Formats: sequence, C-alpha cells, structure tokens
Amino acid sequence: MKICRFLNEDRIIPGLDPGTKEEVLRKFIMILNKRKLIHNPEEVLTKILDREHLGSTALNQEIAVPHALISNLENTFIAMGILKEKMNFGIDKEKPVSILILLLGNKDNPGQQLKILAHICRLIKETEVVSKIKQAENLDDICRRIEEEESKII
Amino acid sequence: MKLLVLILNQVEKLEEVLEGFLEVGITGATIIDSVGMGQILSQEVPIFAGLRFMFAGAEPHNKTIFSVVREEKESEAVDILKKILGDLQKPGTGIIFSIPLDLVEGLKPEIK
Repeated sequence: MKICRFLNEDRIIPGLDPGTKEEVLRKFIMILNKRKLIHNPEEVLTKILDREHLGSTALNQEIAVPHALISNLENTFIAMGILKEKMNFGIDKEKPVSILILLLGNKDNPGQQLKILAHICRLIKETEVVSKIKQAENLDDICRRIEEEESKII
Repeated sequence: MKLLVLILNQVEKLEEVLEGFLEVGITGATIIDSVGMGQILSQEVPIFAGLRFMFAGAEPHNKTIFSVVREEKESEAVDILKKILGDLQKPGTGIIFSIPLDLVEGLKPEIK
C-alpha cells in the first residue's frame, strides 16, 4: 500500500505557517478544500482534532500523521503539508514536527487506514524518507523521492 | 504426536481448561503468559490509538498453553476445549491450532 500512489503535486502543500495545532490543521485543510480535494472541511477538522485529543499523532523525525475515518469517502485520501518552521505537535511533551501527512480513510473500511498507518511508521523507521523529502527540489521531486524510498521496503 | 496450542483470552477459564485436559487424559501442558498484538499496538503505540476498536476483544493478557498429545487424543481435547470456551469465532475467546511433531522425547505417559 504505497503512499506515493495517493500523492501528487496538488496534494502537497509547502510553506505552511507554524501556529497552534488547530490553527495549522485548519489552514492545511482549508487549502485542500479550496483546491476541491476535501469537500467537508469542518467535519474533517473536527474528526482530526478528536483523534489528536486521544494522543498526538506525531512520530519521530519531525513527522505527524493526523488521521480520521470519514463517512462517505470514496477513496483513501492522503495529503502532505510542509511547515516553514518546526512546531510542537505534542500534548504532554514536546513533539517537534515539520511535515504533516494527512490521512483520511473510509469509515466503512478502517482496515485500510490501519495498513497505511503501519506502512508510514515503517517507512519512517526503515528509510531516509524524511531527509529525502527535506532535500527535494520541488513538489514533483518529493513524490519521486518518496516512491524511491518506498520501493526499498516493499 | 501433535503439539496442541491454545491461546486463551478468557484467562479466568484457565483452571477449567486444565481440568478439561485431565478429563481427557492429558496430564502435561506448559502455560506461558502472553500478550496479543492488538493489545500492544493499541495501548503502547500511540499512532494506532484511534483504531483501538479494530482490536476489539483484545484482552490485556492471555495465556498460551502448549501440550504434546497423541494424534487420536487431539479431537477429544479440542471438543472439550470448545465446550469450555464456547464459540471460538467470537472475538476475545481464543485460538486453537495444532502442529504435527517429528520428534518427541521426555513425555510422561498419559492417564489410561
């Protein structure tokens, strides 16, 4: 279940301003909404924030994977936000994050979200995907570098 | 000979399971404390916290019971385990499987 299958240049948002978790996620989701990639931004934001209240979705290496299950979503949706500067994505302790991978899954197929989350965790641990994303020259290069790193573990 | 393995989620039924083994003449088993994958993922790996419901039925701890049994004893043992545990398809009950063994030494004789 490669995430590069779901990503394209349109779904990568560079230059997000840091702020509170809610501010950054709202901005990120609203940009995707303006691009007509997300049609129900308030529902998405609420569900994403509900999930964050259970515990931070920040992983190591400055990546967080805010995620939620949404009703009536046709296909799994993945988008990437790149922050201008690191921000704290933790709750009890500091979790610096500079890359957000937004993952939305269909409520009726939670197993797929579980598979993709597990894949992202392994991708981050077993490859140099984070540094490769940071070194990328443009949005197309990000997709290409993710694909290269994913091919090392699948 | 077969290695009969029971992963018992209803740990409160351990005594009944061992009594059931005795009833069918199985006098030896090894019991180890174990933890299911769902428990670890949902409780100890925060990224999966939102999908805890996917692991419904996962108990905090379970017991894994190994017993070497004669082939003809296997179905008798499985039958009594099903009577004790109920429907194994129900999440959170347990899993039974067996593996054929090539070599067994040191096994005590069964009760006749």
